[in-house]
Amino acid sequence: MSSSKPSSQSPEDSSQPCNGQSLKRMARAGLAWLEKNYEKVNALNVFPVPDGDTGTNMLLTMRSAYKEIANSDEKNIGRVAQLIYNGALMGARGNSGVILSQLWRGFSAAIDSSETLDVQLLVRGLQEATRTAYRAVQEPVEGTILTVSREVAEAAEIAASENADVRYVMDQIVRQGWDAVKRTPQMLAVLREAGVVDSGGCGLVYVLEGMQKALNGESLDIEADNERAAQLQSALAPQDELGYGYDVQFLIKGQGLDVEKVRADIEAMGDSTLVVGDSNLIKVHVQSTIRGFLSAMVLNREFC
Amino acid sequence: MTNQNHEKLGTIHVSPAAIATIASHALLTSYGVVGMASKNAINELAAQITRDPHHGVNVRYENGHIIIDLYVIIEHGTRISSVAASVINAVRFNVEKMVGLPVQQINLYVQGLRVNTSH
Repeated sequence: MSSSKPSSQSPEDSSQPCNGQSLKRMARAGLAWLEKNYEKVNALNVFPVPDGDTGTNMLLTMRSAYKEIANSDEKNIGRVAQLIYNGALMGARGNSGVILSQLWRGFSAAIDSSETLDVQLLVRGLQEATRTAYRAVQEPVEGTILTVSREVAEAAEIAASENADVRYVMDQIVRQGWDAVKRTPQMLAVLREAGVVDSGGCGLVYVLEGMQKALNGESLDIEADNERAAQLQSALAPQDELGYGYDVQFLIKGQGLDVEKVRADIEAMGDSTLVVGDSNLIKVHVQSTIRGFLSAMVLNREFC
Repeated sequence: MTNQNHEKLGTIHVSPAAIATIASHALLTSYGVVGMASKNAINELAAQITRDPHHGVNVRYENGHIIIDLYVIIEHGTRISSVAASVINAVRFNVEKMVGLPVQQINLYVQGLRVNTSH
């Protein structure tokens, strides 16, 4: 997309129907808002595996989704929703990314081939999104992104019965979304013990909040296609599909240990390395996949 | 065969069945996994008759290392590579956290996809 977009634009005219291009602008803003906040989402990630990549996974999934429509002039909202799902499906990363793709799947299935979106269709879309997302797991865990999506759909239904304005409904969706996120620790013990709210749910509300901002005329620019975003992505992307792996800490005891040599070896094994000590004792911290770590240990037997 | 941990006061044995229970539980809540399957038709029949609580999970020790085989059915319309990676990650994390022993290998077999007729 061009980077010379005006810094503000007029609110979506509520008398104008919400069409495919409106959804495109909203998806773009959802992506942009997540891009600005994904590190916060990463920091919250303790469930199901505390590997700190929820925000990154959702961001890469949304990026893949938006890429499908970035150059599309499609006016039909059903068609745009379908393209977003296709992109999210192909780029889905991690648990939260797969769930996000299923939410888009349900949304696009409900919108079907409709030309434009009204409040009723928005409610149906969110309800079907939730139903679809719940279907793809045997025992859904409450206090996660699934709970947040369900409460968002419920809020949309109530709001729609009060006021048939899409903007009003969207405001209520975001409000209820944050409220649901705040209550996730009450539903899931792992979150409560770690003192965090659910990361996936938080990521979802950031996307919705970005969409709300676009609807209210706020312009959010995505970093896609520029150099900084590319650097960011390569710095973030874990080396393999299994993510960041494990946070490993250990001590090496011995005689005549070469700290510099150990540091070089450890740095080759993973990320966020810390190697300190002297010739008798070295403390090591490294983030690595167990597989990569162990194989490297075996290959470097001299300090084992 | 069971795995042993030598402690000061004796040994701790962790049976493959115990590990299979942990893995089965992790699979129930793994997103994208909609069912378990067996390695082959004979195993499937046996699992149905005995109502095997660890259906589709096979744990064994090789030279003291834990190796887990998983046979799963995944929801059609999800990105299978991502679902598979998350499943392996979740099973590994839960087993290692609860048992305290490293898992050497997890092999995941996608035995089928469930197509949802309502779509």
